[in-house]
Amino acid sequence: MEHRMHRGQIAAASVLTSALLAFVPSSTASAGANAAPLVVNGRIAFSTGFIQPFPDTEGHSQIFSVNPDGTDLQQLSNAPKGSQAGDPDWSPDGSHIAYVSNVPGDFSVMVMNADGTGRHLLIHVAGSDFFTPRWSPDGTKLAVVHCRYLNGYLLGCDIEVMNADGTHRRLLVGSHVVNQDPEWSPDGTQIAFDSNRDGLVRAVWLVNSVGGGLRRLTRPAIEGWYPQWSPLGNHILFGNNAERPATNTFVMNPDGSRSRQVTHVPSPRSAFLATYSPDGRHAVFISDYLPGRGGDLFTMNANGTGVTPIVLDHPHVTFSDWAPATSSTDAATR
Amino acid sequence: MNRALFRRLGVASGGALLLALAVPAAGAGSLSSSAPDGQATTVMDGRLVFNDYGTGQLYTSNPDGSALVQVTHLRASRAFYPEWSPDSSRIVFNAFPTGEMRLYTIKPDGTHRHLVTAESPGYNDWAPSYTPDGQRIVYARCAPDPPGGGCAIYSVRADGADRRAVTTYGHGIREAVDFRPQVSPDGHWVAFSRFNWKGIGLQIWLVRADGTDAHPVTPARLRAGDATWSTDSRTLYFQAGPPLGLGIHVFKTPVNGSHVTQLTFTDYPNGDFNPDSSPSGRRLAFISDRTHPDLCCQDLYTMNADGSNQQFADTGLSLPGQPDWGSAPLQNGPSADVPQLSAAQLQAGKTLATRAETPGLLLLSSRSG
Repeated sequence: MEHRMHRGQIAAASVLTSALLAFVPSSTASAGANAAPLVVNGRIAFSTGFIQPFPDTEGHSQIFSVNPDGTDLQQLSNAPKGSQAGDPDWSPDGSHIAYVSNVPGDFSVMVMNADGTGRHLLIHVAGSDFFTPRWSPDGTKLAVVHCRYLNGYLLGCDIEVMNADGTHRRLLVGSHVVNQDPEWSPDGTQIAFDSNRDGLVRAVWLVNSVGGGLRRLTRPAIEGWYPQWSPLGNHILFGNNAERPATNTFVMNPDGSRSRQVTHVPSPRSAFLATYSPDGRHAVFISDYLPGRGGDLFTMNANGTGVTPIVLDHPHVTFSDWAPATSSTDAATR
Repeated sequence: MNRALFRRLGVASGGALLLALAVPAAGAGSLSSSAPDGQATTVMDGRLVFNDYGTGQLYTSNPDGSALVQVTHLRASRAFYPEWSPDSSRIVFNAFPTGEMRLYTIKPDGTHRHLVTAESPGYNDWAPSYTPDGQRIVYARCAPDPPGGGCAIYSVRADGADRRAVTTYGHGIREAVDFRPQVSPDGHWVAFSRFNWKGIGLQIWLVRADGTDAHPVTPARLRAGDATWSTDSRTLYFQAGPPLGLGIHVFKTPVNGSHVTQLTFTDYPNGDFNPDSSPSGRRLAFISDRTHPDLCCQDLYTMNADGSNQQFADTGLSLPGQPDWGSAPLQNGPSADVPQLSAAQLQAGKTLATRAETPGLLLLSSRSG
């Protein structure tokens, strides 16, 4: 299935997003500060439903990919009605996408080729759910969220690491809390994640990828969530207000210092789930900034300028990930 | 994930969300063991009042669970958070027969139910308790949602007049849910549970009765709530544990929070919750699901104030909760008939019992359940 964006929608949205830019302070870091040289940006994958430790099982989520300029939208998954496929993550070489689906019954980790072919089950454990698979930088491992239940009651969500073929799964961060949204540092030595551990509503944490070294990066009041490393490993994007109505995207150093706001969408609207482009010069994110709509997909420069809508005709766009250009995803237009 | 955001975006939250947020329902409070003038009085550990999540009604019983009496017979609502008046002549509670949560009082025999106070549309009133002199009722007053739905502690005269704010509605990161207020037996302080204030999940706070000097008592890491006072106003008993509503235990701390002592040790994922001090201060009532590894049900228990001598109170009900220990005389005689609940009714009731982390969730599930 393939269809293109409505150009009329893009034009109208561009007018509105010029207003959004008015909220971007001139003092933010210059675009390209996180740039990884010699990397070309490829396609963006995203899903259309809410799949996380508290999934929207009444909705219907599919995975799509699109060029960064919004052209050539393609549906990659084909989950039957009443089931979900979502939360895609490109392999480091852009050849595969890891994602989750409840087609096997419980949410399980799946892998498919970049064009949606070759879908296969990687790991499924009856009575528990997996969410948010994330490739290690060398492509040999996956970090996942594993949620366990008892008679419908959530016992906890752990961060686990396993080989890319689904073998040798081991616990990285556990306890009776919800740990989620893992993301490898570019050098593979650390994993950022968010959690409600330590009595906090939500905060961004860091742990060594081999275990140990657990430390909190964001202060409690900011309710940090969904951390995303810059390609050079010198910054981490994250959202604030994890459990409040309005959230914006922030950036901080990997030690938690120098936290500053990147998007400035006025409350009660939001800009969130931001992910860097492979070259680090841009980010893709979700926002309900445009009136009368659900979540739309936008790109921006890494400093928050140049906001551009790219997908407007899918309601409830959620998780996205930006691939490096490959022979199969060489659509670098930004 | 930002649940509020996704709800607003139109992406409905699944049933697992509410289950995942589960914390056993908030606990009961203490009655004064001193007269308002500070003179010691003779107090008796009399009957308990509690709600039942399976039937949705209020009941009283002796401390061993015997002589069960059904107090309410609500049809279009459920009753929550019952508390005795200091003289045990009335019970205050909240229910939603008109769609929004309101405060009511009722006699222990189920007669003379009265609405305490008129309320503005969109507001919901929760978790009432009497002041030690019985003249006023403190409660959580929750603002409409949207826009915020935060809750503040208010008090109102027992006849429904003279509503006053004890805490204020915060904004931004200071927006919070202040819940489950309990006035100290000496009448000077109000203990309450504060949810989501400046990124902290749940803490017990104290505020003077005049609204000044609000401050936290428990550390954020403990995730403590549902405080009840000792009769000398020097100790707080409370529940604390993980944010998923399982594995909660009963603790105590001096009111200055200087140290914390764990009183119950039920193995995860079962737990002990809803502590309430008896009028004499020698015993505590609490709820536990310790004998139900499948988490289907929960029971009423009592124990000494130091955690020893824990005893099961056989009410015959499947899901008693939120006990309040009064001084109404013990009774003899048979217990009221208890309806046998289907598995589906049990599941719905237990789910309701564990959705009480925020008033909004409980209200939502009360209506749907």
